Parts: sequence; structure tokens; C-alpha cells
Amino acid sequence: MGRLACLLTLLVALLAGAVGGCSKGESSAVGDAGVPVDPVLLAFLSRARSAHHIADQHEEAGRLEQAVDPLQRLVDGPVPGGNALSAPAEVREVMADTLARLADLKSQLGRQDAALQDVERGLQLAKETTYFRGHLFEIRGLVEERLAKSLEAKGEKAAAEEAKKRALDAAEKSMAIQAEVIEKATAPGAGR
Amino acid sequence: MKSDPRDLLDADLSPLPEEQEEELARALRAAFAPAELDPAVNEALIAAALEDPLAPPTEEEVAESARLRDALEGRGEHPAADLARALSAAASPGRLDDLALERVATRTVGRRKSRGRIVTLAFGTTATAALALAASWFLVIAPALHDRGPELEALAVSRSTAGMFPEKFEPGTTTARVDRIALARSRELRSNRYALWGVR
Repeated sequence: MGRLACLLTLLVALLAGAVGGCSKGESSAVGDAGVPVDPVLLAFLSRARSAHHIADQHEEAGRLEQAVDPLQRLVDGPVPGGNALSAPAEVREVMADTLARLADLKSQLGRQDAALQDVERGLQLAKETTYFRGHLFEIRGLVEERLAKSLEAKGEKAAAEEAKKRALDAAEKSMAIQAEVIEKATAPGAGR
Repeated sequence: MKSDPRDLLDADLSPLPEEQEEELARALRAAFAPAELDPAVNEALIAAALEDPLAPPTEEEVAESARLRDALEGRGEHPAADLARALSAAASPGRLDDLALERVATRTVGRRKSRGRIVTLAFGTTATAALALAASWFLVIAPALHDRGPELEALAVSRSTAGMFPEKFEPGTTTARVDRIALARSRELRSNRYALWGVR
């Protein structure tokens, strides 16, 4: 039995070494950024393109409700990897950008709560300091402004003031993120 | 058989209609001295070739998948069949028979000097799984990955697109951004395919 244990230990050790070697090799092969660009990623991006072009046509014709539909189907549909939070970076960014557009459209339709939920969902996907995240805060500010106006129109002044304050906060955050993006992009050594 | 083009002058050839003649002349000129392809047309061609992954399979793809299916069912061979079996064994290992076990042990720890005694090894599920994984790794996966190393290194990988947009997002430009991302990645998918085919 001692021989068996020895053999098994050796095999497991060899396997661990091999797997470690594999991880190292994969890292150098495909980089730390992600998996190789594949047809599944392209399928999602192609679907996203179609959804936005369809939405464009409806939006240009003033049919905002119909413009929401293809975008909603995109963000609620399948994503590479099965989970948006762990999807490839491009997918998360396109989803975040789409959610920002959805939020803007819903807000124009007076659906401010749904719009703010879309912004929140987008922020979960765009956590890095990028224009995608900054844009979501910008849209949040816009939605809060529209909310403030509608509350004012209803005579709910205190709630309207709160919404205005949140709009300002969001705009400030958007500006801060955008400034940070610019600083990073223009820092010495950036883009190397 | 006529070998001198001038002999064609003697042949009973009716002249082409003017429109067809012009088309033929254009095709010949394009073949002899092709003009630069308009970037927009180029993008459209790439898009048509690569941006419909849900398109029906080509005849070649159908034939290839049938060949792979036959190989997996034990009829014939296919380069991808061994890898598929190895991955399947790694994910859901079965029991190794004594002969396979002996081969794995020999390959990993060397041939035994003395073969005078028969040792029967009874492994539990975990040990069998480890051995199956080790076997698939050493026999199939590692050599396959090693062989594909240079191609894998050349592949474009999924990554953030933030660097593609150095300026603040203007209202109403989402579609343009998505278009740009999709086109960039479709170019990279094409490069990846060429890299995997060994075409550079």
C-alpha cells in the first residue's frame, strides 16, 4: 500500500505541476485580459449592433417605446459566459452603454424609477474608471433632473429638491470620473 | 490544338455584345491591376463574412462535423476527436482498465525494473479521477497545447474597449460606439482564424 500511496502522490504532484504549467502558459498565451476573441463574442456584438440600429430607427421616428424594446431584449438576453457580471470586458461595456441608453429612453418616457434601475445595473457592469462609467453617472444626473421637474410640476417641492441634489451629485461624480480618465490617458507612459 | 493566339482570329467567333464586352474588360483589368479596395466596402465584406455566426453551416462545415461525429462514435479519425475525448475524460472520468493504468504509470514514473510480481491496484473514485486527468493531460492535452503554442500567443484576446474612446461620450453616439467595437473585434476574429490556420 506504501507503494500505491507513493505512486498516487507522485501522480498528483506531477498533475499539479502540469496544471500550474498550463496556467502559466495560458497566461502568457492569451494574456491576462481575457480569452481569445471568438465567434460567441462576435455573436453578442453583432446582436448589440442590430439592437442599436433598430432602436435608432424607432427613435428617429419618435417611437421611443418601440426603441426601448430591442435594447431591453439585448440586456435581458443571453451573454457570452452566461453571466453578465463575469462576461468579457467588451460585453460588460456594451451592456453598460446599452443600459445607459435604455435609462435615457425610459426617462424621456417618464419612467424614472425604471431608468434609475437601469443606471444601477449598468454601474454594476462598468466598475472601472472609464467613460462608460462616467456616462452612466451623467445619465443618472439627467434622469434625476427630469424627475425633479416632474415632481415640481406635481407640487412636491421637497422631493424635487432632493432629486435636484442627487442630480448634482451624479453630475459631479461623472465629471470626476471623466477627469480621472483624461489624467490617466495623458499621464507620462500612458498607452505604452 | 491552337497554340498561337493569332490563330484565334481565324476562328469562327461571334463578337460579344457591347455590355458583356465592357464587363469582361473590367474584370480583366481588375484581375491584372486591382484597384485599392474602398475601406467601407472592405468592412462590409468582412462583416458579411464574419458577422453572422448564426448563419446556416456551409457544406464543408456540415461534412466536417459529420466526420467528427463519426470519429467520436468510433468510425474513422478526426484531429479534434482525441481532444474532445480527453476533455470529456477530464470532466467526467471513467474507470481506467489495468492496461491503461499500467501505460500511465509507465509513462509517468518509468518502466519497472522487475516485472516478476503482478500487483493489482484497486483505486477509489478520487484516485481514478486523478489518474484519468493525468492521463488525458499527458497523452493529449499538453501535447496539443504545446503544438498550438505559437498560434495561441498570436491570438487577439477579449479586453476592455475603453482605450478606443479617448473622448467623453456625446449624446446619441451609442450606436457608433457599438459599431466600432463590433468591427474591431470582427477584424480580430478574422486574424485569430488566420493565426489558427497558420496563415500570416
